[in-house]
Amino acid sequence: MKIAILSGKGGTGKTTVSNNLAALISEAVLIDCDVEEPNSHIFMVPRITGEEEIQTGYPVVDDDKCIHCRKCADFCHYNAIIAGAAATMPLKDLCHDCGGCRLVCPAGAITYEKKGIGTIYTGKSRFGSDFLYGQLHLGELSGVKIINRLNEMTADRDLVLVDSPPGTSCSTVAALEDSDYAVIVTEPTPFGVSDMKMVVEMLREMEIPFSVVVNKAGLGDKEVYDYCRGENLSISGEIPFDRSVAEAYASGKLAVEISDENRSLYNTLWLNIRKEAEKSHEN
Amino acid sequence: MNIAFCSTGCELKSELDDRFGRTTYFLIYKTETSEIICIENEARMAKGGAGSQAVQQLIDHNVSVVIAPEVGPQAMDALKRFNITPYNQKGAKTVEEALALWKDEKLPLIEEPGAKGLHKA
Amino acid sequence: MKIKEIVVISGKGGTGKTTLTASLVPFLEDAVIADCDVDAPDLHILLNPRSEEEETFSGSAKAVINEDLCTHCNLCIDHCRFGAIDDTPRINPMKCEGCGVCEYICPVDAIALNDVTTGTVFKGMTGYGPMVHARLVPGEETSGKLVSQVRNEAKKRAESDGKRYVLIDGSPGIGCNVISSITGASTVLIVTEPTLSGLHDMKRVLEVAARFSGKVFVIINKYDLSVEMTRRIEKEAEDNNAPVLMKLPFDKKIVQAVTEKKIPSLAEPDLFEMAGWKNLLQRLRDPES
Repeated sequence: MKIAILSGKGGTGKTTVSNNLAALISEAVLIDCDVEEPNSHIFMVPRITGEEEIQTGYPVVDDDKCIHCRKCADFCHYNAIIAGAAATMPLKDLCHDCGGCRLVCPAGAITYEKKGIGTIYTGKSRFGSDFLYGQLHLGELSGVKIINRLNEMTADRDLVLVDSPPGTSCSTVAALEDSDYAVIVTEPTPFGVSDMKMVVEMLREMEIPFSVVVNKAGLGDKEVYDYCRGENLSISGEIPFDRSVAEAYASGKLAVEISDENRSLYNTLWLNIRKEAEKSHEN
Repeated sequence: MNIAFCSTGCELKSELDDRFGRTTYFLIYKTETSEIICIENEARMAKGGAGSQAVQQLIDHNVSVVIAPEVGPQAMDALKRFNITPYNQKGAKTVEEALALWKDEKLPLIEEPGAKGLHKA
Repeated sequence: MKIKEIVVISGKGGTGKTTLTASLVPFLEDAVIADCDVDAPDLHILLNPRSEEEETFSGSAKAVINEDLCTHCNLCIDHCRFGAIDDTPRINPMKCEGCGVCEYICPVDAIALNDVTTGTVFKGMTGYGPMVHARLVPGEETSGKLVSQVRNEAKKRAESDGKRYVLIDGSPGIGCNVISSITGASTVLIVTEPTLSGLHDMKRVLEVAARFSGKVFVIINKYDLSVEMTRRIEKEAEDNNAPVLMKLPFDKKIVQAVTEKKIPSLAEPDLFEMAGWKNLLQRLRDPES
């Protein structure tokens, strides 16, 4: 089973929830798909046993063969090729690796080369469970290839927890590939409600069953509960706001490490999520 | 020779635009005839790669000098490759002022690219 | 008079960027407000603008297959590098990147690339001045284009209304959209929190901001949650020539104000006063002071 943990925006507690669960469930593999700003390794402190460079392709023009017809530049929807009478110049940072320019070139002047866009680190977390995370290089266009590879590398595992990118971007869509179930982490403020609506819409469109976890419960008001009731969304659990947890978090410690109450809170949360997930796949 | 300015309008009195790739207009001044041509910058509404599309337009209009604010690294490489020399518009408010400063050789060359452009598609 | 653009950014989400931006609004008389956080546009919740104009926005193109013409040759499936075409063949718009390869390769012209609506730009009026914000369609990527459109509209409005400032709630993260929102700004305000990820992201934002000519200031929100991390953030900020102008403690009253859809700086003036609010406002109005 693969369970994705998401949120409408950063800072609602997506990493908190996924990491506390991963620390608790030793058989679960945690993958951090928030490759633009991975944070889970701060809490998991993994012993890295493997690294894999992820690459993308980009075109190279053979100036001897180029006939300066400009067809490649006209075709490219990403403005990644500039063409003039004197030269044809691909800009590899803009390229999406679609292969179109090579296809349209009548002179066979375009070939593709590879460059690294990021790295996947594999290892064991300080809790003894398997943990993988990806990191996109600063300034790179898209982490989708890294996320796809993270999913591929864990496809045969029995239980995978996915720390997804925030929001509803293509990266989030990629992270949700093959997820059996999703958990939206939100907070009981007007911002939390507003931001989760887009995620709800996206999950419905993708037909992935999900439930909601209300983080920082007790801080805000009832609007998020009213919204969930109105939309018929089930709430798998609530994590009350606790100042000591927030303080521990600031220095890289997880809630389940600081007290038994927190351990049993996350245990119950996990049982609920699992129950909901199994139920959703019975019908 | 054709000189391009990043401009907010189509006249010599127009204020300079503070963006290169997404400038509103390119005002092109022909030194031989003092004629000006105003082109609406198509790259302004580009989904991504505005800087490179802007360079493409400069190439298409035979521009050899561009007076700009910052230029991103990719556009910078492209300008070099196509022999377009970028000068910094610093100190000028309008196209007219920038042109006068350029004629007096008082505009500095842009040698280093500024921050990376807005190249997300 | 040149319009001053003040951009509030944070790197990591959830540090209080929107809370701070909203708090500044009533104190910067003479401003147009722009919400460039198009992934999570929340500023309007506190400012409640009366909508004056809406405009749909197209930031991408997607391929569509005309099933009546399709001969099931599967060439499009073979050539798509994004895995966006299933065996039907049908195009998954969430995966399609609009590259046009399938349209080109289709031997019977059954595929067309269409511009699709990816968001909406809203222009409106709040109790404190005009506001521009935008909203994306789920599954769509934020584009530099949408961010700069919001900014341009706000700037245009500031020009036509003779306003001195454009106050921008910037995009989260450290990617291109952030750069897009701080390019050309006269002042950048970084809102961070005393956590490892807060420090990590602030460093990257400072790196980006250092390449611009504007002034950079830092606000540490919830600073009392970790005295140690706050110290490290202060040191990092100072080393990068970005003075820390305000340290706001964690207080449930601020969350409460947001929950009641009140502007925190108006609802809890004492809290802000003690954290250095006056100093911050002074420096924003006159960065050299």
